[in-house]
Amino acid sequence: MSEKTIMLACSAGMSTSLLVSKMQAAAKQAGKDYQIFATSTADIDQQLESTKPDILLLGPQVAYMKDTVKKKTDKAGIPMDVINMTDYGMMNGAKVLTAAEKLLEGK
Amino acid sequence: MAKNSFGEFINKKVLPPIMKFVNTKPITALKDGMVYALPFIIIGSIFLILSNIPIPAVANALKASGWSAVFSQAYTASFGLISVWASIGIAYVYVRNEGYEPLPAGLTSLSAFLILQFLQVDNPLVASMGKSGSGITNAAGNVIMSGSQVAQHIDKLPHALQTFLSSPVTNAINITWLGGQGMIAAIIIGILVGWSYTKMLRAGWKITLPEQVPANVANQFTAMIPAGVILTAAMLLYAFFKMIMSTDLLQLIYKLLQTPLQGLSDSLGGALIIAFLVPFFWFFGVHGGLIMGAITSGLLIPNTFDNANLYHAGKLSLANGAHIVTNEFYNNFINLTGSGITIGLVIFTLYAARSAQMKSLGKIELVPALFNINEPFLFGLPLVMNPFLAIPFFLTPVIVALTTYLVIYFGIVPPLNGVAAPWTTPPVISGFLIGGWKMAIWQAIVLVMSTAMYFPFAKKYDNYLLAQEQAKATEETK
Repeated sequence: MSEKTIMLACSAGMSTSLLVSKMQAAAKQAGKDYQIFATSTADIDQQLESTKPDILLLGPQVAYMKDTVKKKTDKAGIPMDVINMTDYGMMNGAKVLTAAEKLLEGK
Repeated sequence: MAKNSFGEFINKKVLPPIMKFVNTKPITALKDGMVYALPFIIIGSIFLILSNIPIPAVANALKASGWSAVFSQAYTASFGLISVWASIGIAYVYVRNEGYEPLPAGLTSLSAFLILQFLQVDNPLVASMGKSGSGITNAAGNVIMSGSQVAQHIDKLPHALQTFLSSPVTNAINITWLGGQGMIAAIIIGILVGWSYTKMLRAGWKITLPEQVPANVANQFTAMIPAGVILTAAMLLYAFFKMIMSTDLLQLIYKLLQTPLQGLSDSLGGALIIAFLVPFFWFFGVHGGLIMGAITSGLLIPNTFDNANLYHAGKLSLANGAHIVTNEFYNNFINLTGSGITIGLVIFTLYAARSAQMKSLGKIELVPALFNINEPFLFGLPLVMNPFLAIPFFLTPVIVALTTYLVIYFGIVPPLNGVAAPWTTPPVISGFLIGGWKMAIWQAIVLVMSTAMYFPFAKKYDNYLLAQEQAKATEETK
């Protein structure tokens, strides 16, 4: 079993899946066992129910959905945030992972 | 700073209402509901190509062997049912998002969609008669009796028989309305059913059974009242249009709403506005491709469908009513290599960039660009809120839309054939699939245009970044 499950969401889950592989590499390097995956915003409800992630990160391109998604994650009792734009663009897996860990601790 | 206050104005005044609209329940249901149609559109496209391979010798052989008709069958029952998928999918998503069991609502929507149309088809004889008629064809699609011959022979029959032969065939679902023509109606019905179904459940309109009844049995009754009310309303509407106006709702919506809107989306102005708005939204950090896709797909997919039908019949030309702007025009031209058509920037960063930021981003973006994804550039370069690259970012899609429209309009490149390639299909390959080898060449030219557009601006930005990096480096060595 993985320690924590991190879910990323963007419009189609395409570009975020790029970031996922970078984050997985960063996690591996740090010797941590995370389950990280990307999905589309349309699929959030289902994933919250079936995979029960510990945290949800939103791609900056769908930041406008933050309020709607926040309601859902609050209901599920997990933290969420929008990924920093520059980190997302540079596909900086390590930085996004650190941000996620901070959020998880803050819970 | 005039620029900043303008940005603030857009962010505070213009975007919120648009975002609010995009996030409304009907638009969300439309956007996410249409997703269920996509696999059928794309798989159906494969059957469409097989039924009408663009190499005459192969196409003729397939036709003669009867396989063309077999592929047509699969195409008709997949791509050809897009309005069915839309009506189910939209109501389904609407009700799912509201937290209720969604499938009964989707099925109710399909039922209402069918109730609201005449379940009849025109007698094939009517269409085949006359000089411009299609005549009578055999199973392999060869004409065995011309239209005028049919008309001549019909006249020899007794009058009663003539009337019988030319009256509509009842008890049949007319697949014309299950395809592109029924699209807007399917969207409207899907949204209305989703909305009213949720309202009724929320208001507690359901049959409550005693506690001893198992939950599974009780659940079957949940849908009963909302579905009953919706279907009764649909039936009364059907009666109204049939008895008062001798038409059905689907034909009315098609004539009054869909045809003008489709025409609008298929105009040069429409194409340019769509092309401009995608980078416009992105400039403010909002997913322009997604938003414009949600708004336009209800019209552009029927355009695609019309072209697919013409292609299927072997009659694809503008003279026969083919559309220039289809969903593929949007996916595989306006958004080629990502919103803003940024392939030119990729080439610049790989071959001409000197700043570390651009160089490293080029390596990250190269492969995603081939699959029409460019978020690394949008956020990393960035393109969002970046005045240095704003001009080519806004203009490239508009110029590409304009020139692509014109080359099709003047017949230099044939119209898009209605085949739908997934939007992630790499350029040139997608061009070949959606319009043949000429379209593939045109896509290659688009890539060159993008490069020419972005180069001078990218160079300036690169110099700026380089100067910044050098200043930082000298500061650190001090």
